[in-house]
Amino acid sequence: MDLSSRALGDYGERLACRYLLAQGLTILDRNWRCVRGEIDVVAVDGRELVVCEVKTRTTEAYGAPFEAVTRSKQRRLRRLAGLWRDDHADLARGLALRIDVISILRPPSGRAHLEHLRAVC
Amino acid sequence: MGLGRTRSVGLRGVHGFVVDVEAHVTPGLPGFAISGLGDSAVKQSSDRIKAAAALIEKMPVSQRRVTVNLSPAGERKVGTGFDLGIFIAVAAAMDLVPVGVVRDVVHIGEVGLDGTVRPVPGVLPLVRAASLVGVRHVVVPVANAGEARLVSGVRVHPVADVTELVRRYAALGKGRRVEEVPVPRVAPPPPEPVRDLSEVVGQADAKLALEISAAGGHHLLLAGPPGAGKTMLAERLPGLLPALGEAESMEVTAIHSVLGALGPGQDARLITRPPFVAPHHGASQAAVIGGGSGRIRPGAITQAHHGVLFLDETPEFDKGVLQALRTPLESGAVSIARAQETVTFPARFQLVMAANPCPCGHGWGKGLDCTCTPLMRRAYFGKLSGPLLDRVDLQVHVQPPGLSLAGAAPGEPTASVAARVAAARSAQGERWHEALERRGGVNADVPGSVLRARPWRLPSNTTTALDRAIESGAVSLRGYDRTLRCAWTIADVLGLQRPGREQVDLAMSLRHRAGVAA
Repeated sequence: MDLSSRALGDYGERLACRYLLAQGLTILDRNWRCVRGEIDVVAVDGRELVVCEVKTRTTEAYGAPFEAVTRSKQRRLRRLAGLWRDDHADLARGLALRIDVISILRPPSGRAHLEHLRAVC
Repeated sequence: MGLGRTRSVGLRGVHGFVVDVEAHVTPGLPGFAISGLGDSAVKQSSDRIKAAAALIEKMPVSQRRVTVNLSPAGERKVGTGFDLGIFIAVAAAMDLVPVGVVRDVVHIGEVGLDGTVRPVPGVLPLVRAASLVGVRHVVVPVANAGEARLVSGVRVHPVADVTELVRRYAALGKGRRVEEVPVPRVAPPPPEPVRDLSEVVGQADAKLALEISAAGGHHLLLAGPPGAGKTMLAERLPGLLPALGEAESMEVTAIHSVLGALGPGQDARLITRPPFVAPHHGASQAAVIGGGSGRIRPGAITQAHHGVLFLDETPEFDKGVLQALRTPLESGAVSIARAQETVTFPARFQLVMAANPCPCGHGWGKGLDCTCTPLMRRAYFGKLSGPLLDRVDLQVHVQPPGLSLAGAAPGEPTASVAARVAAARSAQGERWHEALERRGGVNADVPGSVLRARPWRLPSNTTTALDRAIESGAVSLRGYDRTLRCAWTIADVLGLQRPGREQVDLAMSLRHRAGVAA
């Protein structure tokens, strides 16, 4: 992964966190890694544990950001969410699991556009 | 965003069934699922539709969560004809076309990646099925419009392109008038080369057998050495048969439509002549009887429905194929059974078989040139054997024409023989109307019990020779009935009220000339 796309991803995740905080969520974790992969953001929304995937793009030429979340990625997200919960049993106790996807489109000029899909899989 | 609904038609055998196409479009992770027992062609329709939808503004199908259901969901759906219905249901769900307008319209057609609407096979039976359940409007590919318009009671709207169709629907929703897409005129197919009976030199016996076969609907076996003209004679049989009636035309054209066998220019008119189907002797059972992997396709016997099935070099056919002909010959239909479904195809055809007298082909007359052993000769015809040959009323030997005949005057033309055949057929239709409980029955369809009972029983002095043959065991009871049927046909051709002794004797001789009893 080259530097600029890494930077773009970090930018998107910061934006997503700010948005989630503004929505009243509590951020528990960011960029959690294990051998199976990485979770971008983990947050709590009321009684729900939200595992959030953030997709950032500068252009829709290769499809909308959401289109990048394929079936196999959804499956991986579900598995990772379970792993995170096992790893943080104390934090996750009593919370229902929810998987969200946030898409951020940031054209070279102009405002970034954020979309949030709840409970996608 | 929401629910869109329209209709399409699926194909089962040679009949259609109307399918409700529902599409549910929501924001969410993109995906395109099609439920309702579609085969892989139906499943892949999502890829074609995504590409075609990309051409339309405000139709970002690839960024939406799309669920399509084809109902009745338990019925198997095959082929690409559902593409257009799915596309319009999705467009309706996305509010691009008026929901109320498209709901009761039937859409048939394959969608290309560039949005063109491509023709599909079987449009005639599909549109007919839609018309039967009361559908008023059908949208079909331009290339299928002529065929679809053969069905009465529905309005056919040809379409060339999905973007244009969506535009027209949108205009219709706003109350504007919409022009019909013009259908390019196709030149009618060149007329079939006329195969006239007068081209056959000599062969008086074989021609007589051919005429009787045409008049009474009798199956025919032509046995003779190579070059005797068996194929030539068989090819002239359809010309002797009367033109198809309206219902028959529709049936035959529908079958050809499913097979994709309507040539260019033929698709706008019904087939009115009896079809002539001559499969090669290497044909598989699936090709002849019907079947195949995946979609169950009609075979040659169904293509020959209301026409002639000609098996050249019959003993060279696979034994299984020949045996499989027995039930359709009896019932006029064939059922292809699978674990999941059973499909019944119509197969009421007239069978004409041609065979050499023996494997080397020279075993005729005194058989001096024949190099075959008796065992070979027996095995060759043994393949046709019993049950199949038992159903063939006319078995004649075709002699090679002598040199003297090569310059002879032409025989009787097809037209005058066909006129006699037509007269004979109408006499039969009237006579058997009651016994068969249907119109247009021919002598070959009449049960033996009817022929042997009053009022159709022939006096014993007429059937002396035949009675003697059955007593001596030379003829079976089934053979007895078949001889009677032929005798009736001969009488009909001659314009007699009833067959006399001469006609019965002639019928007997027409059954035994082939000398295939070995």
